Amino acid sequence: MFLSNDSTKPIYIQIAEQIEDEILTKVLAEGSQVYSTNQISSLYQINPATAGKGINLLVDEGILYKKRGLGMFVAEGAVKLIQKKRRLSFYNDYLIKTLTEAEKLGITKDELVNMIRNYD
Amino acid sequence: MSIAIDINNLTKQYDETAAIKNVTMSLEKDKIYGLIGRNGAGKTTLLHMLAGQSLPTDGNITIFNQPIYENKAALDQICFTAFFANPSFAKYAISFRVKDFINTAAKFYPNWDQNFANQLLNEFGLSPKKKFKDLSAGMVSMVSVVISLASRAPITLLDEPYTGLDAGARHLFYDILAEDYGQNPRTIIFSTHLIDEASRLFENVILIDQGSLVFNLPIDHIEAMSFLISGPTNLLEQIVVNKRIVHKESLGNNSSVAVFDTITNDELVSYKHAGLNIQNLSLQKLFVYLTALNRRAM
Repeated sequence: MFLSNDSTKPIYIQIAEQIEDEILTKVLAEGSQVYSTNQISSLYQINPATAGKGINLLVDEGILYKKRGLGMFVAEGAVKLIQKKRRLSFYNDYLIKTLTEAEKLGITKDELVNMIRNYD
Repeated sequence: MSIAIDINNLTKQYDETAAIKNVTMSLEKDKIYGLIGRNGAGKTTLLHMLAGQSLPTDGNITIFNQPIYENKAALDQICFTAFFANPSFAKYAISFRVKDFINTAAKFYPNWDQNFANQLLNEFGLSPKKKFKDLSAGMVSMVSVVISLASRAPITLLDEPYTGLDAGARHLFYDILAEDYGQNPRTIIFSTHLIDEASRLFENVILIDQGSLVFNLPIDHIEAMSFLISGPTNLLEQIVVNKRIVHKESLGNNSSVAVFDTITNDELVSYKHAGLNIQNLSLQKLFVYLTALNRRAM
């Protein structure tokens, strides 16, 4: 996990997305415990309130939940929730850049589709 | 959110210069504030007044709704540290040892944690027996940092805590601050020149320029308004309109502009569609551009 100072995304969003990534790639299983805000803020040397903001974002979206006295846990169905959320922004966040670059290079849509088909 | 420090129309006048002019702001409890400004902007003057060490010429400050000056109840809650190795002080302190500074400080702060102080001295590699005359600039700063953190004062003010601290010691400072603040929340204000490095710890940023308050904003508000947009010059000029531009640079047919303004998601998408490149503008760069602008306007 690392934070980019160059990204246009605020740090608390980067934290939230990194946790989401770990949930998607099953590093953090549904039902398992997530790092505490103090652990995160210590690791990245960020303000604990910023770490807390990232975690709260995920709690608000139902991806994480809090068990009193124990900490934060990954909710059941979190993977599906994250996939659904990210599908909506996939086009804007990833596809536009690829399409504009392909246009610049004169790569046709057919060639692009073939590249996609051949991806393993 | 409750208010820890209320500042109203604060002014500090020295003969013809106003070191601080008409500053009004409210600082919330249990937050880390980064205080930034050019050399001579008035940061230290402001901190001295917040610590009750200097009287305003006009305006007032209350801490937890109480006036500070000569008020023990308020003063007991404040810890102010700065680089203390100036020549006049050095004459008195020449035979003091690190432990003397620490033991003296302990008497002033009701929330002092001696175990924590010992742990910090250890982590910084500071020998309690070392004499003041044998301390390097960095070590003097370390003593200041140990005192300010171990004070656990509800209002902790640090004036450029890094003077002389090497990169390793600074990272140790950030580490310890992040961890201790998480476990013992309090109101912390620290002034610094190393803006990008320290910015991860800030919740709010206070920018002072030439004695005046430029802004006191949550850092994510600032981040959401700081952009570096680049692309072909005429395209840029066509598309990026009605936005506050704080800096512009051109090379050949391409330009890049630094924008300090809100840009909606829809606008961002349309900029990207048009082929413009959008990046984050760092707090440090924003600071450099804003303060340079103020000077050019004079």
